[in-house]
Amino acid sequence: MFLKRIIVLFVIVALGMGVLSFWWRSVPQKKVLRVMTYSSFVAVFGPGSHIKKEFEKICDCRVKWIKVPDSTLFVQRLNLREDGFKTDVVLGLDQLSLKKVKILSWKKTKVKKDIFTSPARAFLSDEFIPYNWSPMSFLARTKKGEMNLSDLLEGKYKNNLSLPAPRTSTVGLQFYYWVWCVFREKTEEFLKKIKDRLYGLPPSWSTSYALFQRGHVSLSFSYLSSLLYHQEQNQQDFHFVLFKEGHPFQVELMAVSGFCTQCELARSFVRFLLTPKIQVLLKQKNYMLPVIHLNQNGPVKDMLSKVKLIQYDPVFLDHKEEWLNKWDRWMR
Amino acid sequence: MKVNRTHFFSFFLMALVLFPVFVFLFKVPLLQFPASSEWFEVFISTLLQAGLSAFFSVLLGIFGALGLCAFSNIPNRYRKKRNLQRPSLPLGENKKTPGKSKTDWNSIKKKGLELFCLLPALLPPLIPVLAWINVFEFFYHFPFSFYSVLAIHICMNVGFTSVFFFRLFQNQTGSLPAWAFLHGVSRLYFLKKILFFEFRKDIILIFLLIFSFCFTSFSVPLLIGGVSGQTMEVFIAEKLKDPATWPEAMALFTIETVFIFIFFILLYGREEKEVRIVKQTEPLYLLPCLPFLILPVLPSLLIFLGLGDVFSSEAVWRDLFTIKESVAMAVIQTLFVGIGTGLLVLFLLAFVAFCLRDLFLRHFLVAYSGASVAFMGFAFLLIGSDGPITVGMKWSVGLALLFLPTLYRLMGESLLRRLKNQIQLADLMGASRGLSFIKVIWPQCAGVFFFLSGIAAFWACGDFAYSSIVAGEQTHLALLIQDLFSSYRFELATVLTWFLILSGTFCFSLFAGGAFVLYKKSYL
Repeated sequence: MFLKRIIVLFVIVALGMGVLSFWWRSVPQKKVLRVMTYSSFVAVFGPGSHIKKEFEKICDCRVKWIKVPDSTLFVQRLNLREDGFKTDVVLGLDQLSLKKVKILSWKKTKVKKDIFTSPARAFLSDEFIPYNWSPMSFLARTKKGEMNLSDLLEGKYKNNLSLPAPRTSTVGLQFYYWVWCVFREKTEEFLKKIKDRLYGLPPSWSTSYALFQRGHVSLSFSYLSSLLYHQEQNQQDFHFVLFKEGHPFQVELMAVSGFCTQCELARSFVRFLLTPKIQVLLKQKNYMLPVIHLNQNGPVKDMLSKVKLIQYDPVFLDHKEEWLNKWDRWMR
Repeated sequence: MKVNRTHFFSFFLMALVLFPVFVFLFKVPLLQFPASSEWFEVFISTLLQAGLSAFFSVLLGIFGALGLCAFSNIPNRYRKKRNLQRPSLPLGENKKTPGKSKTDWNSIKKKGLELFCLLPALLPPLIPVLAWINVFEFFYHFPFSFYSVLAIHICMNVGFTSVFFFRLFQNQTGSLPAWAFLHGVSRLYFLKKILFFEFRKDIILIFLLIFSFCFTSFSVPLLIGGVSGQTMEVFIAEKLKDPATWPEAMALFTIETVFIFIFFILLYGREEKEVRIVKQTEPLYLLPCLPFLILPVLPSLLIFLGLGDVFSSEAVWRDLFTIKESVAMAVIQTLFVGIGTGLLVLFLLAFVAFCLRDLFLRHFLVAYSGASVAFMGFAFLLIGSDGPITVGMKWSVGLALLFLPTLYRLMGESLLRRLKNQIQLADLMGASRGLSFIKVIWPQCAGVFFFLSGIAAFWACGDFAYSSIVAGEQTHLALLIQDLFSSYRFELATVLTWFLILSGTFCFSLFAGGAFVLYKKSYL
């Protein structure tokens, strides 16, 4: 008797679910645009939710974020499933990861070239489109004059510099690339000397910068655009340190994935991110600089005019793994 | 026929635990061993780190346990001096009367202190690590290195080992110390030749537990290891980043698993220890060890000190108010994940208990180090859809499978071993498997299983390594904290760790409450 009731109940539930499923399928569904990005982009204070809202207003679609813990994991994630999780757009690549991501398939996207500012324009290709950027250097709590990289070896900086590990963080990799560009064959010598100036090597930029924010170190390797956050919080005692050798910079790129199912929608999303409204939003919420011509004011713009950028040399990236192994050996 | 059915259930459970490995083997059918120069140094470093962490955790834990013994006997000694009304009972007799209605403040105090000492082991690693870094930095620069991983692992485990040995000494020393001291044995001789010798097997067991925990630890070396503190788990995760090196990751995982497996079988699997419980409630009070109480208590105390300095900032409260809805959603999701994981662990532990007769399954669970976090995450990414309900299920199931081997080793195996004779007797008397499970095994195991599920629930609340892989668009408190770190909001993230502690405590209390109810019922 009891078993009979269970079977009847099961049949009713199964029928109900079937009817519901049929009804759900018959209702016209909105297109879903799948955007893969790093988690802080769609975090509670990040620009993700605003962009989603704005784009959904005009596209008659639904934007779905595919979160990846950090930007070093895009290739891994896209390779994991044969359909690449049906990703339409990848948001958060950078120029140092380009060599690795180029092995995947990407769709071409046409955008107007003349809207881009330098240096972002140099990284624009048919597949990869810059959407924000920032020069990088050490940030300090006190105003400092122009420095040389070798000034960092002074005794007063012992255990007083923070930067993330290059293997786990693109910011750390930018520092390594900078040192390599400046010192070339003397890279090993410099790194061995700077080793005891570093306050360990935290795995991520966030930990490294938190050490600086809490006052445990006097210099932290970060973005010029980090000043945008401190301005917003009325914290005036954070300064970008200028270096005579020039500065590395990070250009963040987006691309329409070869796995896309909504390819045209993906292209319009890419173009949407280059509109002035969203570029301003990225500046305010992602704390990075716009890649298109905008009227910018404030201390960041003043500083930007003084910053000299280093030349981008892809040779380092051809042997990236080898260099990272060397880093592990030297810094151990 | 019955034997076959048990084997089928055991096989099912083993397949479930090994599922991520199978999935990845399907994806990467070839193993490719990296050059030994690349991984051997990391392997040795991990071995050294785990060995030293386990050695010092056990050593300090023994002294910490003596401190706990001394503390737990303060009122008794006071009563002895003042000749208060409690009648003197012969040594070794249990003085507790179960179900006594009067509040036993001494017992509550002891339990409270035990829980306080266990806090660093119960909390997700992120919280104690953050707190200890804060405290340490107040005095000196916190080193991101091999030594910091070692120190943090010791701090995380010393409370647990202290409580473990305290319970052991309390239950099993009996009148041994009193007789030894009566016969003029010196205290040092007693410690060296009697106590360490008598409990050598338990010492080895707990050493192995801590060793395997530290050997396979991921979050701690990732957060504070720097270059010199890299471990095999972190190295495997590195290899998993690049699809070209996935076969190498698989090979390294195989090396790690086989090593732990052999290690356990050689040192632990050969003999079964018969446990005798003497129930002496005044253990080792003759040793003047109260100062050693600092060892298990200090790490917990420092957690509260380290996380307490962020409430003064006005900006933090403003930011917290801005994101109140996200925090509320994250709390709800945290509770779902925590309770879901706890329930699944409870079910899986009950399943293991049901298959108790299958020694192979039990040895497997003791010796298997557990799948790497990244493997588990990938396996669950590869299956099922990414709808909210499916993601929620994958989240809890994955965490339950990750925690099961560790939790089983922690308390489950010793408990099931104790029931061996009773089950044999039940079988002889013709009880069916179902009946012996319901009437013999479950009533005796449920309390401990509920407690272990509570720990799993707490860990699930604070997990960010696995969660960040499978969570999709959803978030819970640990992920929100991680996101806030990446958005310059370090202080707000620290404030949210308190929300995480509260949510975890709530989940833990639900299960611990279940354990308490079952404990009370067992006396009715």
